[in-house]
Amino acid sequence: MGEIVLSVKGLKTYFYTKSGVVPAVDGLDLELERGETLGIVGESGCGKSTAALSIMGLIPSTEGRVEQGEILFKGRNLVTLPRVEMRKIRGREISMVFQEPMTSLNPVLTIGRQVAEVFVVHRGLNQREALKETIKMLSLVGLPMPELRLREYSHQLSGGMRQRVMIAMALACKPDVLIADEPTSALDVTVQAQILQLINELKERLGTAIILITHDLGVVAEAAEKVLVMYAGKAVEYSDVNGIFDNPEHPYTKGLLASIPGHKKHGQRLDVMEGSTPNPGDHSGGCRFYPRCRYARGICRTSEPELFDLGGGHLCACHFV
Amino acid sequence: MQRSMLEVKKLKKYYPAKGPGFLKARTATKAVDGVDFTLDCGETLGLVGESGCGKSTLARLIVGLIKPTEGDIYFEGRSISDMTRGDMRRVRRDIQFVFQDPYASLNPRMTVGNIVGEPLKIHRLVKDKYRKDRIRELFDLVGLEPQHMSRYPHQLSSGQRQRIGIARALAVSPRLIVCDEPVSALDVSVQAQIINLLQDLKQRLGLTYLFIAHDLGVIGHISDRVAVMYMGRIVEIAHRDRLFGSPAHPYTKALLSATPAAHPKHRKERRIPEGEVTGSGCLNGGCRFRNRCPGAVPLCDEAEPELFDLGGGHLCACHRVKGTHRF
Ligand SMILES: Nc1ncnc2c1ncn2[C@@H]1O[C@H](COP(=O)(O)OP(=O)(O)O)[C@@H](O)[C@H]1O
Ligand SMILES: [Mg+2]
Repeated sequence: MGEIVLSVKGLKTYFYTKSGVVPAVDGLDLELERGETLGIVGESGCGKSTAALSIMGLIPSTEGRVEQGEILFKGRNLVTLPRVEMRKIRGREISMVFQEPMTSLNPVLTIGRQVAEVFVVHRGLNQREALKETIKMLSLVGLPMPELRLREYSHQLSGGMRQRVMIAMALACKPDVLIADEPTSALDVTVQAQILQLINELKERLGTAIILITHDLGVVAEAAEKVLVMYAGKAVEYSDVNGIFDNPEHPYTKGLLASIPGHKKHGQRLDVMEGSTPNPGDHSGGCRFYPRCRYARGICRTSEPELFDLGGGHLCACHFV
Repeated sequence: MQRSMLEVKKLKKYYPAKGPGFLKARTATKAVDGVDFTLDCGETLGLVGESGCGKSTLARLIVGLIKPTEGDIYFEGRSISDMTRGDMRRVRRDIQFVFQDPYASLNPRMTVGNIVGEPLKIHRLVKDKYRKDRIRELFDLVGLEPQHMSRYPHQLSSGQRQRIGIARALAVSPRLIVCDEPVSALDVSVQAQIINLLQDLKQRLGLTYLFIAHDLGVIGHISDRVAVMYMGRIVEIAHRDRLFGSPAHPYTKALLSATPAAHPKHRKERRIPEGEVTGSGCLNGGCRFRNRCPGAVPLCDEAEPELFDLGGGHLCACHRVKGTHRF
């Protein structure tokens, strides 16, 4: 087993809204090994982005906060780290790429300025050195003619190119951990394939550990080594990627896999899970998947199953597995 | 022989560009730029392509939300543009639309019961006193409970809202439904429910679908035939098994190759085309895919390839495929 670079224990992140408390992440555990890609998969609203923002220390304090739990990174607990310390880690040792690069790039600054800024702020380089590094980084992420791109603005780039720039900025300081939150969900499938390939190549090259967040099991099959399946703010299953596809254990994971349509299933009815994903907090005590589970029995309503090791590091939270 | 329900010939839709007049003609957005296909009674034709390739514009042309710049649409053999107003109104009922984003297409201030009932009222299809019964019937058809009738769109889940969108389309008893990315905004578990529903409805009501999606998994699951669109044109059209089993056009091959594996063991060495779709209009003459195509030859710069038949209704628009094909 490799060295653990990041471990999250019992994480609870709650939002406080006019209509009440939203327990978006509600007891999440995960471990990330150096140099591996962990796919976090689940349907919308299950808390994937909230988990990512919690690790980054980016939950806006006006909206919510980490209530409980630890985020351990290189021997330090990020939850209790003073803000100035966290700012040094963010973008340098742990960085993040978002789904919509358009909104995360500054529209009035040139691409060159924005990427160079990372080198100036985090690596203390002067403008000239920073510019040189910027060109190197932009060509590393496959931006054609990087020298020319320096003076362009984000709206002049295509969606795929913007995502490449975001990745360049995120990897500029060779972070230990890159969190990519639906990095390809807004992109066309041919561009998605290019970006996934790029992320894979850079990981090999720089040894970065990656948390790849997605709702798409195809992306997981393509790019992850380990997989964590989330449902209603918690992990319900964790395994290496083959285990998830060959021997899914949790009824929700099985349901997700059975829901995927495809040419080979033409004409067949898809084996569907009834109902829809719950709102955070819409459960009372028992298993969160209980209302949609075809195997549910009495105990599932009254007691919440914990993650349990089935052997070989394949974890599952279900009373009947 | 199946009868064709819909036939589209040389259909074009150009949007004039903003800017100085003398440049307009050259920079017009050619959203749909010469599309031909037929749709048989009872079949599902899948239309797949990446964003901006003209899928939605084509859909909107067919349901009559916008007028073509050029070309014709025939419904049951008759050109829609030549129809009398009365016939036209009937055709507008026969062809219905299901949108991608049910939320944006439902009036937030109306109860969903009234939303589904509105087409009945507009087209005066049932007497007022029977309207409620018909709405209840429609709710039942799409798997909603009668008590949902008095809710507002925001009180329903996204899957339930898409069911409302479908019920509203079914209200006027259409024969052809154009579905524009009806499941693309949904979570996979809900997407699966809606796919099953659309398939059930097709069987029960004998519907014909033009089904648009960018996801090849969804397209392959639901379609009998598949058309692949690239920058305003159909580049390949074939029976589903042919298209997935032996694609001919380099763009279709690229799409299939770029689609993520269904299983980690099938991760493949890909041949992903470089670059991205460029704005239409900047490639005057020649094949639209040539700048991304691994096999482009000089002819591809010179002439725009037309669809030709590889046999068995498998059409492809590529000079090289045509050049190497044995007739
Ligand atoms: N700033 C916020 N204020 C209130 N609720 C929020 C906020 N951000 C997210 N949520 C809620 O938390 C839940 C989890 O959201 P999110 O982490 O975005 O899930 P995912 O990324 O898996 O789709 C959702 O119900 C969402 O509405
Ligand atoms: Mg998210």
